[in-house]
Amino acid sequence: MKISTKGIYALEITADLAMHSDDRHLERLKNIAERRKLSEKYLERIVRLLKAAGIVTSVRGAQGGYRLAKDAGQLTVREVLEAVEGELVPVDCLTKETGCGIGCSLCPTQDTWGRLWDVIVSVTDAVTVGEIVKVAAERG
Amino acid sequence: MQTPGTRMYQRTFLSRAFFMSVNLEYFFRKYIDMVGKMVYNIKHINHIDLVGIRMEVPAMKISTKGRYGLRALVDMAANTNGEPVSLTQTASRQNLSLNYLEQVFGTLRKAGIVASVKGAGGGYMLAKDASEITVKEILEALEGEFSIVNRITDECEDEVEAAIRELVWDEIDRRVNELFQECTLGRLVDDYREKQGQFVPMYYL
Repeated sequence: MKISTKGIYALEITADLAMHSDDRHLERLKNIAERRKLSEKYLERIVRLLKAAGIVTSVRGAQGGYRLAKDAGQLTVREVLEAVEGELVPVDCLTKETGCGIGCSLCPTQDTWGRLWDVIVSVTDAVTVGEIVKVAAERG
Repeated sequence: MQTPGTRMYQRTFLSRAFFMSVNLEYFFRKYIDMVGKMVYNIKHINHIDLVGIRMEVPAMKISTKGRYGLRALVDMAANTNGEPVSLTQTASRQNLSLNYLEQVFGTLRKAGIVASVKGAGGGYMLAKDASEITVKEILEALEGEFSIVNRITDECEDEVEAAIRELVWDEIDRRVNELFQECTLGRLVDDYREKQGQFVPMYYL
């Protein structure tokens, strides 16, 4: 399975916001776009999804902008990715009915995909945006 | 043809001023869509940003080749005691097209996982013991090396991308490869046989 570029960018954007905004300072999309080398229009699309998921908040107006809605240390990679990608499931049959030709009870491979899913969930659940920022700061 | 998992997306920097005209931008976008689709074999490109082109590549689940291929292989291995298995049997049990299976098994044969036996009573057999065939090698033959994201190889990443790669993508890839390496076809066959043993057709109850 692959996480799309939307998911990758969403993580970068969230980390960027964690580094450039806080309770007192809101960051403008324009600046994030420049640092992340994305168009504002595209950025806006992703940020809208993050906002709907309660990950970022915005304030309109001249002094407005965006910031994280919760503490970066409490925000998991899983939450961010799920906000833009939906469930991080490697094959559809793990969460819904598909017409794959046989019943799940007779499937030779469902177990394997289930374990793959477990790995993805457990890694993304364990890493927070706060940690990403910390490692980025050490390198930067 | 590039195998899945080795695709890269290019970052090209173009002056925005050159594309001020909406029409030009539109046609250029269409052109890049077309080239992108041909070069990267991507069915649908969602967005291309012209200020530093970062292409959006849609999320891909495990491909059907990997999914159905593994399933068919387990089925085949579970239904033999060393004698060749005809693909028609596997196709009917797994509800897959014979044509499709022939392609899949052709790939598996080239990878040294199965061997074909010609003639009457022929078909396919495992080229080595099921306990020596890992899920990793099967999926790599069918889909290429696993990676949770399309890797950029010709770019320098900044510290944010590097941190994310280190903590998330590399870690997932490492653990998935571990999982696939540990899991053998032999184990899948045992589990599958157990599953079938537990399945009681309705009319026996």
